Amino acid sequence: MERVSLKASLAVLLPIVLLGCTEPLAEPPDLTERLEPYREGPTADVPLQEVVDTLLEELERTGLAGSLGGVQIIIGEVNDAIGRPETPPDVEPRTNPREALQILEGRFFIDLIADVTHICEGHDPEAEAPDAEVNGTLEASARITESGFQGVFWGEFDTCRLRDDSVDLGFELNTIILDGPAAVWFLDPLGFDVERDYLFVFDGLAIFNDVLVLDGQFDFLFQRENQEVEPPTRGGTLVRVPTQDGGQVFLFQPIDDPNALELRTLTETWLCDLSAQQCSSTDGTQVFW
Amino acid sequence: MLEHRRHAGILVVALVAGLGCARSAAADDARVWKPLFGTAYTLQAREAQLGIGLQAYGIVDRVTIATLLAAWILPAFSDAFAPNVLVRYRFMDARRWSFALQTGMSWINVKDANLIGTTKQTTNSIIFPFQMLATNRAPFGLLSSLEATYVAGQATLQDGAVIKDFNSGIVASSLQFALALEYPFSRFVALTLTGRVVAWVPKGRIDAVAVVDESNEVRVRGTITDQDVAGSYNVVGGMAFYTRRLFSLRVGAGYGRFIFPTLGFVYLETGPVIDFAAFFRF
Repeated sequence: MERVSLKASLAVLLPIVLLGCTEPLAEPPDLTERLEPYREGPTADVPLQEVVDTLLEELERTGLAGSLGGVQIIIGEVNDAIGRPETPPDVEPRTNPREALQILEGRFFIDLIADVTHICEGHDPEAEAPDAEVNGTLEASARITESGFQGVFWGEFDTCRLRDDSVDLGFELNTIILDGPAAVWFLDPLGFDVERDYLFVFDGLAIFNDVLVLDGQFDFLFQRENQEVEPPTRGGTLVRVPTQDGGQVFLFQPIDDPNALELRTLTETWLCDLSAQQCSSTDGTQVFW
Repeated sequence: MLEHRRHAGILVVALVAGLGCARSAAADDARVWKPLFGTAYTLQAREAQLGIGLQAYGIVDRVTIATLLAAWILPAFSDAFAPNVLVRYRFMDARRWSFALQTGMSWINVKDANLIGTTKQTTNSIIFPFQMLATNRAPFGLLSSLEATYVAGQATLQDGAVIKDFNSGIVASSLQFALALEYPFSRFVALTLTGRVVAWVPKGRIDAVAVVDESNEVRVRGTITDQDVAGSYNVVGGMAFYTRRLFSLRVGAGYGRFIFPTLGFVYLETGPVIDFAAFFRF
């Protein structure tokens, strides 16, 4: 590690001392409007058969057997990155973020912005290191004050290339390319080792295996399981699906059953078993595909 | 404006080249004891002060350079190294008043600091104190000195133990005031009383970059204010013993936080504060 010399320190920081210039910090986007539909719930009725037909047509168009599968991968990537802490590494970091923040607690007034530059890792596994030019980047920011993290990560995918060979979708998915602004809003106070609800929003392009599957807004709400509220919340992912008449329905995939999918409309909730390719409504009606 | 520039020019010339201005008979009277600590006084030309505390040398009657020798020999006892230098310029004497400006620089290097988590970090700090001093000698001998100090500092911290590389810089400053009284009640002994307070701590600025691995880099920047520093104070009473121009001893005790009198940084533990200095002048 190179040591910072007196000369270098003076050269970099003395002008800041003398001039006293402070670059204004960027503000996080207001995502209230994107959360409101989730609070509102379903506002439209869509026949299940129509949803299934549309889905099958989409699969036919993309030739992927799954824009839905692709969406699942995006959700999975986001969850892996931020939603669920991974297994702690074998060697515990000696600089513990929690410990570092405790130093700040109660003693400092702080107003900070953390800018993360992530080189996307959809490169050839044989390559030695990810290349920002080839794989694209994700630039993300967060504001932190003395009361903690302010709840919103926001940033932009710049032709960010992902790959995920770990999920068996029944077809080969080589790459996902994301391009456009995105944000994550944590709705609960942050803990370091607990799941929390968050809203993910993305406005841009999603390309799976060179096929454009998304061009526009996409968002989902991750809900943790919560037995302390009435009615209890089942943990899973809630995806808002706009309807052609301007309303909305929701798809819910529980975290504890990857083969289960719920379609929530204004008047009906369909429970689907993806492995059996069948859905049933609360009144006993069944649909197969 | 031209007048200001002329004064600034004189100041620069005097500080850099050591070319003094016209001598004031009243203030440079060698028969009058003029302590350096907390006052606007300077040593006479080619006069030196050596001992425990501030080491000083008079380049000319109005310009004194000084250093805290203890900070230079820290490596013998610890991982810290703190070379430092101060320059005082007595720019005006009027009747019973003397006025001086003082500035300097201290570089503090600590190789194995333990500031965050359990890793060892390397820290480098640079402190620039800018001081204005005024001293009045009353007819009955009481010395009253006022000091206003603006301390500008920056610190860098490096940690490469776990993540690939980590460099941070913090720029912090404070405004401090001090009052020092010294009343001689005999030829050899004086009572002393000093009070010092950190009146204002503006927002500091932080800029840190961590290269976590080959795919991720994090930069943190913004402002940070240490609530504990503002309002720090100490009050110290004591005695000074001196044999006029040869030897001087100053001892005192009080309460508050130790505020480094010449460099301005604050030790945040509140409790008893000890003052001790002993030196020869020749």
